[in-house]
Amino acid sequence: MINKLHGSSHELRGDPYRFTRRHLLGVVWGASTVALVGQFSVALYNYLKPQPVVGGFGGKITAGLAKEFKPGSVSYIQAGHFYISRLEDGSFLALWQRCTHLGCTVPYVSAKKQFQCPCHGSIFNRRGEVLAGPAPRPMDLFPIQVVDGKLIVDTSQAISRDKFEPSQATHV
Amino acid sequence: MSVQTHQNGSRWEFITQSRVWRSFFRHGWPDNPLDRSLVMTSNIFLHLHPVKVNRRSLHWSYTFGLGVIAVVLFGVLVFTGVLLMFYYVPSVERAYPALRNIEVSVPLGQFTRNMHRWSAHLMVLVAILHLIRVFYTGAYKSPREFNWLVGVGLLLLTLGASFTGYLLPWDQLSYWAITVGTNIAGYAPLIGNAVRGILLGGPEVGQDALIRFYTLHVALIPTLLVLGISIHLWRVRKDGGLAVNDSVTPAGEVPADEHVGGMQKTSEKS
Repeated sequence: MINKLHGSSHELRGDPYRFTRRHLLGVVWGASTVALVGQFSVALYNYLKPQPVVGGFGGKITAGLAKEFKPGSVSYIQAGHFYISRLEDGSFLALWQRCTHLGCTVPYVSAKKQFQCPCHGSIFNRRGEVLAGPAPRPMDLFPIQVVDGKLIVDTSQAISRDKFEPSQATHV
Repeated sequence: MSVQTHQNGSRWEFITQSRVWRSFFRHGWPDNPLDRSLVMTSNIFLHLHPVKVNRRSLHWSYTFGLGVIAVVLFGVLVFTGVLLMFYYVPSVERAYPALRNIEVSVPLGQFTRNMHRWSAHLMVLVAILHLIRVFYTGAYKSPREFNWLVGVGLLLLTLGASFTGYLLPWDQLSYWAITVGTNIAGYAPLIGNAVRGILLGGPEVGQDALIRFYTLHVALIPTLLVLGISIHLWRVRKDGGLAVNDSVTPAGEVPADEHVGGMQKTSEKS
């Protein structure tokens, strides 16, 4: 086929698969197009992806003094969209309020010491473990830092986990 | 007879003979066969309807006019949507109050909003029925396969417009529906979380999500819909008009090439 296209060129007639200047330009053109589209796609994705937040939910939130939370209690930190759950051993979990099923806000029912999702009935205990319902994994955590006795919670990146382990809790 | 016969002195003649007038009215008054056909063929909107149509496809029960109904509903949605944009503010503090204002204070505001809402529901329904009709009449087959794909794209755009519009009232129903909906999108393999992040602009439904859904709803999706509908209608004509289904009448009763319409009128047998 190619030697027909280049029929006037004498030296091409013998080898139809010879890599010609036209092939080279085609490859250069194709690669440039792929590079351009790729560059555009990456730039567009970076433009549209969620931006980091300073202060408020999505940034670092001061939950309060560690000693203010009683062992065995769950406190809602509205500004950070998370609960501080202080376990019986005195360690802390910052549980994101978001249900791991489909993202509804999970209220804490203090009478039953459970998180009960109103959307599809998932139930979590104070360690965020799933007791019932369609939730596929325990409630997500935010990392806690202790600075001058205060709990500083970084809400920029949630930590998902398959099961509760004591090492997930922060000790003061 | 042409417009010029209505002349009332030289001033009217001056207007109707002017280059501007004649460039706008490109043919005479449609009181003769030539000008009547020019009304159709020189007008982009009337031109969308083919000159020739098959006799059998004229039965209303063949298509139920579902595609046309969907286009009309889209027109209603653009019109009422633009009216709503004069009052709606895509901010978490003002969206719901703006909506209440439209409903209780703006003359015909509630009517406008209801038109928009019901037309949106109907458009989704009609688009799906249209797809079903095309499937059961076999109209997706070659040479109309490309237009079937365009139609599927239009259905997805319609659902996208419906989904993005659902958040805008910013009430409890819309908030949780979009929360659940975007989390379902997050379950898609590989790209799920990226898609969810791009849609919401953050980890949860909030101001960033509202402005993004608004922009998609009033700018990007309608533009793509207009483009897609144009291609869709153009392809209907290029693929030879509505598909003829042989099973509508027994084979042989009507010749396969029999058409009615301006260009080719055949005998009245059958």
